[in-house]
Amino acid sequence: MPEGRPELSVVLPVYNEEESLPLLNRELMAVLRAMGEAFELIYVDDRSTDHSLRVLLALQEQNPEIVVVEFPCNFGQTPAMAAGFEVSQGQIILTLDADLQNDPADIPRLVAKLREGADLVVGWRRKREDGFVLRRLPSRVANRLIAWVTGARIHDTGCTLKAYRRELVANLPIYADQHRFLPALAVASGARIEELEVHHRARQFGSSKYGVGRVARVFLDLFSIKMLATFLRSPLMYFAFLALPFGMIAGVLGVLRSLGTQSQMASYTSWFAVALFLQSAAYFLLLGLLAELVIQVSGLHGRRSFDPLSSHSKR
Amino acid sequence: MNQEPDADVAPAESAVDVTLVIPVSNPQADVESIVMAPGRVLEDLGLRWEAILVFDGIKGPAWEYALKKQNATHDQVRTIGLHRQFGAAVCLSSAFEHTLGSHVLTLPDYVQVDPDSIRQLWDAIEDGADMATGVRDQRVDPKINQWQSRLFNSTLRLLTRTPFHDLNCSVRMISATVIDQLSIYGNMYRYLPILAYRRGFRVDEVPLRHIREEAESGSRFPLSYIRRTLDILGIVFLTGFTHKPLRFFGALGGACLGLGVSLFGWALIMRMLGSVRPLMETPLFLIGLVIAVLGLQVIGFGLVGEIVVFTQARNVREYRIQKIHR
Repeated sequence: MPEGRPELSVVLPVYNEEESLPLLNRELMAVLRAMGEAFELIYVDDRSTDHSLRVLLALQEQNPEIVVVEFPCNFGQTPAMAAGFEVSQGQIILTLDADLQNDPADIPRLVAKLREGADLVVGWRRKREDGFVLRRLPSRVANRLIAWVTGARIHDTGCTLKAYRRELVANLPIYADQHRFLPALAVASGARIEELEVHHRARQFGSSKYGVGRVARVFLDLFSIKMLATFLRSPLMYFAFLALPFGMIAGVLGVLRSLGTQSQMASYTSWFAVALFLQSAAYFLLLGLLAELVIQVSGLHGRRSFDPLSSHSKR
Repeated sequence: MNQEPDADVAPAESAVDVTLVIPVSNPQADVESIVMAPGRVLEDLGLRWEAILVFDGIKGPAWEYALKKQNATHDQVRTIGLHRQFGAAVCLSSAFEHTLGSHVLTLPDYVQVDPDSIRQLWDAIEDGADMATGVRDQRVDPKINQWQSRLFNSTLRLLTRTPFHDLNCSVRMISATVIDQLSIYGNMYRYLPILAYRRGFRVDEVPLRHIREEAESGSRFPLSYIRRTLDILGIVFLTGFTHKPLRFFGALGGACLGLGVSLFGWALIMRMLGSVRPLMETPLFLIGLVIAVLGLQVIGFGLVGEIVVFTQARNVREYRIQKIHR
């Protein structure tokens, strides 16, 4: 055990990477030792079905800086990261993939960038070494969409290689597949984000753990992140904004109905439609009130989550 | 759900190994056999035990007897009296606040399974299970009940992707850690194995010889079916979408929206292809409109769900650390 608190914590979610791990660990150790700072290397084994855990424990025997976190079952990548964050002690936390596609040699640059005055440094795999149709194209579309919707101008949200200031991690809720949207949430809460080009290497071992079947989910998640990131301070406004089109349609229909001449049947139908849209407008306004209530009782109003860098932030 | 880091901290050595927790809703319950028979089995196993009887708003001979028993055993057998009937779930959670044992054994207020089979529950725990849940073997209740039970359990197995065969059997040996980590409310005690399994606890099923079956109080024909159906809906929702409610409501609402729009479009196409009826007079137009608007409302509802989860994210951790090797 190195003495004192480590300055750097490197978090790696591991799932079935027994072949990559020894090589990765050697590279990481070389890079981190060369930096000359106290560090810890946190491997979170997401209940791999191969011998990853055994490999990790063997590595740990040779390297006291390694911390191995063991999961009781396969929870997924984001929970693995969240667990790594929970266990970490460093002031600067780095995440990277355990599949050797991120290059550990980029770590010192990320850390330097963070120290120049950023709360989050995001890696950008400018030249990706992945299949175009299955990986790069969906990823590019997703990134554009995320950047456009959330206003976080990040080229590559899917890149795991990131450096965080501890305060940021401590205050952003990380759950579900949220890690992809962390930059967006961070931007919304006023954090300073920098982007840095990083190397990307082709997969040497194993297979990718992603598929294309996540498009609908990413889309829904994006919708919710947009809401959370931009309107959480005043949900009533957001829901009023959603209610607006319904109210407008009701109004327009009502006016048209009053002007035009229609059969009696069509007249009933259009009045019914007016009533339906008015009802919906009211419904969304009420949802907005409910959302206000939820945020109020949660005690988050104007605190922590919105202000990750405030002085009274929880460590 | 509990937030305490659990990891590799061994629980403090407690003076009691197993706490029997028994919700009592029958004033004539035979306290001697429901408490002492399992107690003797546990003693045979060399375990120290205590019992907590929770009387669900009833008094009567069983209560009197239990009080005497409490005095006679110097609080090895304890009683909690609820001032009115709250149901088994409240009984269990009020008892869980007072258990001293490193494990809890829940039992019904009659001898449902052969007390000797408790050994097998303990065997599973010794073998490393965090929870051992009973499966009634050689069932003695009517065939019709067994069929219903089979249907209910297989539906849940399918929908929650868990392996449990008898969630209606309340004989369970549960490690105190599991209880600390899971929030149990309302009817959820029945689904404790599912919740525990999803949190990465090892839950073993143990066949127990069935002796007798008594209907639960308050389960009458149509009502119990409605309740079970709602339970299934609730548990499926909670196991799959606790952290991302919009994925559930969004899919549901999106489907409604799609259906509505296509009905609407169909009406429009019919009109353009020369149907004589004006668009506003076709029923499809109205039905499509209502369904589409409903879809949007469901999506909006899911957004509120997202806000709830976001604001409570620290309380609904989705992982559990088994061990930290430093």
